[in-house]
Amino acid sequence: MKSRLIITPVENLQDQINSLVKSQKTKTGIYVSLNKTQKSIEQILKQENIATNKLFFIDCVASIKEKEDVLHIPPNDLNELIYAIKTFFKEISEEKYLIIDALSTFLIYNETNKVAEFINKITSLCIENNVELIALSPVTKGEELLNKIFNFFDQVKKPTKDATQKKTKDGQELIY
Amino acid sequence: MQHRKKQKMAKNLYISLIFLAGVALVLMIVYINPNPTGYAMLQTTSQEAFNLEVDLPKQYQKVPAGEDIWFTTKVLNLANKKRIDVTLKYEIYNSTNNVVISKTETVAIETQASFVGKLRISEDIKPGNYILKITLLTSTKDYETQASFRIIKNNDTQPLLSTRSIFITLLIFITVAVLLILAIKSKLIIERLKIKFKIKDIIQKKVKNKQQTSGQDKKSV
Repeated sequence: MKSRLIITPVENLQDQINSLVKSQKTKTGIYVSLNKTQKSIEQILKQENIATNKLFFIDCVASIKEKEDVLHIPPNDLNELIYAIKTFFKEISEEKYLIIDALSTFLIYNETNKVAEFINKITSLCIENNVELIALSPVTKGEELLNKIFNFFDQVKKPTKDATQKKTKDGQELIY
Repeated sequence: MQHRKKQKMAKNLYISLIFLAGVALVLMIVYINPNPTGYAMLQTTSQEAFNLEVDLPKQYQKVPAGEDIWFTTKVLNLANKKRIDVTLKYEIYNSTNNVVISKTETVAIETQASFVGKLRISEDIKPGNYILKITLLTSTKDYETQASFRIIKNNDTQPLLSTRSIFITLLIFITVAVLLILAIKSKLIIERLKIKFKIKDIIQKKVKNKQQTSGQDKKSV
């Protein structure tokens, strides 16, 4: 199964997620969310008429457990996160995919090398379990992590020049 | 009448004089006679007679090898009131009655005196029971007194901990370390078990919901 790293501008991130989840509707998804709570993501997806009944959420954002059917894992406990993903892989017999939103958010809670090590383990785990991996990361100034993890993925999708240069109403360019 | 009185008086005087002379003679005999029963002895002991004692304090009844033994020698000069010099000999005997340490000193005494003495117990002396013997040497007779004590191993050379206590300490340390590791690991195991059961529960609920919704869809059709 393929592993993909998608680097996208921040404002395009959600659109990317929506299209990816939509495209994977036949498969069972494990959604690791570091930017939004499970509740927010479900709302957004539902608004776009994207079915969430085949999505299992690992919420690394909310500190309070809002729903019983959502697994909450702190973003700084990478070992526990790996174990949870592994267990999901083991328990779900159908064809599945793993989506991580977003890799760079891990850097807020963990050192770069630890995150790189985590991603390496995840990619290996996905290969072993025949799971498609989709990792998303916004375009950031600190590219140290991305430079370390490019090689772990089968496919790296970087934003095009047109996508990165968006003009404001005043005609000024936005720099990412 | 007066003549008879005078004669009587003279007679009494003569008797008294004879009596006094006799007493003086007896006294002279007592002092000069060399072989009396008790008196001669008195005469010799009055020239040199001593009472010798040793006082070994409790803390020196067990002395580590390499340290000093301190004691007090009390000498009572029973006879001579003059100041005289005497020789004191200090010896330590082992259990086989061999002298291991010996020391002499000359001291001056009048009627009585106490002397604090010490002897260094060398480190190579084996632990065991020993006797401290003090001899007062005089021209006529030696006076002795003694006290027993024990020489023990020097604490400094002994290991702080015996092999047994080191072993027990190590064992306790290892047990505590193992228990700590087990506690940490068991906490991890429990946390992981919680995640596992939670995930199973989530999947089961989703499957159930799916089945329910598909069942409802079929009914509506």
